[in-house]
Amino acid sequence: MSAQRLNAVDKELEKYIKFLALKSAQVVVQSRLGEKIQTQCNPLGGNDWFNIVVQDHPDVLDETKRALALKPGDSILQRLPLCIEISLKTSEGDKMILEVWSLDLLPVDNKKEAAAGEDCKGDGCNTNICNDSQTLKAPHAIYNRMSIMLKSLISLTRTTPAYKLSRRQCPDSYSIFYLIYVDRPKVHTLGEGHKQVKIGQLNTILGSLTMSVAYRTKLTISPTAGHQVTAAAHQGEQQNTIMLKSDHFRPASDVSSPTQQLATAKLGAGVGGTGTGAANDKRFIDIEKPLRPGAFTDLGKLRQFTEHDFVLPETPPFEWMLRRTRHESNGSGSIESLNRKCESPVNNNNNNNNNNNVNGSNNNINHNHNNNNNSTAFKSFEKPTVVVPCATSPIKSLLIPASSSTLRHNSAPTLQEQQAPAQQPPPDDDSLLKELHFPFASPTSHVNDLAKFYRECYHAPPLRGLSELQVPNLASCGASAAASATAAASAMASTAAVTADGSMDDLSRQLEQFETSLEDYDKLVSQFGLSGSSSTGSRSSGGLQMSN
Amino acid sequence: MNARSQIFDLTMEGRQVDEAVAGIFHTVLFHRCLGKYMYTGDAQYSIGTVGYSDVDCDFIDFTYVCCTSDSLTRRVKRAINLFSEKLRSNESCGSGQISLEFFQKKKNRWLFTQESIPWEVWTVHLDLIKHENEDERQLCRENVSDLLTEKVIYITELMNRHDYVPKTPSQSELDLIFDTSFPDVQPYLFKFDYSTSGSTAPSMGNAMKKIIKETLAM
Repeated sequence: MSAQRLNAVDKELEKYIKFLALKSAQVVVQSRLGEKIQTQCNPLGGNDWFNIVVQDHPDVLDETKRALALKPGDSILQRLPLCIEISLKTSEGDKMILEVWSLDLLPVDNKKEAAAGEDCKGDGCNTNICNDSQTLKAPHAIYNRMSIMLKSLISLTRTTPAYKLSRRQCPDSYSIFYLIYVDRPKVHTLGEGHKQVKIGQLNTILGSLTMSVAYRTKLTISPTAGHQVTAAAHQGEQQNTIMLKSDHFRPASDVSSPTQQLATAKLGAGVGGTGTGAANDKRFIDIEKPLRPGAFTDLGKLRQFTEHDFVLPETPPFEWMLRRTRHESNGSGSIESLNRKCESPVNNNNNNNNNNNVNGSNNNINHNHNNNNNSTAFKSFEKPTVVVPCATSPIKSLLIPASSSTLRHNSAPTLQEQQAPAQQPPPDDDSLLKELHFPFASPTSHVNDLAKFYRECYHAPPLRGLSELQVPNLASCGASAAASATAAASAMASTAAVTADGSMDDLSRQLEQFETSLEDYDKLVSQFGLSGSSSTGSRSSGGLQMSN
Repeated sequence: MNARSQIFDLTMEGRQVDEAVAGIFHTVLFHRCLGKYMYTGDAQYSIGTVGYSDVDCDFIDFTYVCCTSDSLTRRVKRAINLFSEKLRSNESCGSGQISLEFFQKKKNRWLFTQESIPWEVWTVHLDLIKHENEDERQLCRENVSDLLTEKVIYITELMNRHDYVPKTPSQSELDLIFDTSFPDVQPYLFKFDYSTSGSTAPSMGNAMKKIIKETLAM
């Protein structure tokens, strides 16, 4: 062998092999840089090896030379096989070897065996066909063959799965790495079912030069990593995280409208909560919180009615507290009814029960006004004034104090029960009251803003038609005042203190009150954010008409 | 007259035809292209170098390599386009074949026209299919890509066999072996041939009509 190498042909052949190795490394690594490659033809005869323009990447060249570790005078034949390993590393740090390209020189003795497989493929019909086992001697023929081998290598580097991966690589997901080493190709790192493709074989006097690639077909990262990571699987993984997120937000998307959401939330709280109901409850607790009475605010007073309230098992927990507080503070439970329109029968029952309760505790009404009204606008309501029977001004329907509404209930309970759906929703001043006396709300707290927003939403001016409807109803109730009052008195055993006259008294006093405190109303209306001073004016005129 | 012949059977959508055929033919041509021969003396010549370009397909998940030569690319594209249009036309029944034939010429003898002797023929036989939905289309896109990968591997395998290729002649006979019409590359002489079933017979009739008309016109 050493004697042969003295031969000039051998020397030349070694040189060819060396450059084939260098160029092969360039071709393989450059194809994995993730970019399209274009090199220009040079018809005037460049210095490119094998007549193919393969630009040298200095890093790759250094790396290849370092791997080959050729000292002057060393033969490359001892430094083969040269392997170029392409691997993938994910951003999580998982690593996977994708393919190993190798250039090997089999000893002369083995070449026939190696080529034996090829012999049977001589299906070409040309009479001049060369046998694969034929050993090429002429340097130019070997050179041309190497050129074709390199072209094949260029073509094949675009076909393996790693090429597609490398084109899609990005630092966020994964990167492609290369490693050049001189050793037997470590094909065991490619996992089960890896494919082996022989790019070409060239029989020379020095041996059989073989170029081949082994590539992974199962693009899943080793099970130790815990989950699959290929390009596809990696994308899948990313999708998984997205899936988790979409799960996370699903409860919100399932419920279509805000009112529905509120209803669900409330239902969840009331019934004890299904999975989604509980989730919704959590979600909306921020909105609900400022509108609920504090846990300990009116505890002392509420105790008086505990027995009655325990009769209502269907109400959500602590709703009895809301009700009681409202009635005592002349609220009308508006939020309740707004949020739970679906439960109107229950509400009606509640109303009845509450009516009983209020009637029973009629003495406390005025006192409670003083307790709970922090707003100046409402304070003025409490002055007792002229009696105007069955007067309901638009303002009243807007800012109706609970005492009047409950009294109205008392005056004609049967009528009210029938008209309950038409007159819903009752006025919402309650939310304002609640906001104001909410125990933990500081003036600067964001909770106030929320409550204000909530109030504005629910304080849209009532439909004119509705308020007009109420007037004749109440007028008729006034005409049959005595009968209905007696009916009410008979219906409710505990309404000893309340008579029809008394209720009329109360109503007229309130009307008077409305008139005297028109300015306050205006102030209040402007506070509500209602822009039209004209609407306020019309209301006040309505009130005047009533008083007349 | 024996030539090596390879036939690739492919089934795909009409819009994939151009790219699939181009992928196969360009891979073959890349191997069958040499650098331009520049003769410095009668027997001395230098060989130019061949640049290569990656081409991404639009309708197939596939990238192939071709020589960086606009004129060569144009010629291949034109031939494939003609075939593809025929194949995809309404007259076509959706199958046909196109072949890339490498040949060498024999010297003129007497008055006879130059004789072309093919030595290697690559044929792509195509059947068109239509997909009902996007899933099928996507699946087919991958399938065609896999098929082409297989074909490219097969092509490179054949190319590296020690099969016959014409020997490099002297300068005077260079044109008998190589196509020297390209400014940047020098492929072996090649031509395209195609046929689509369903359109051959009428086209023959048309050709005859045309000949008769032309004769009468003269």
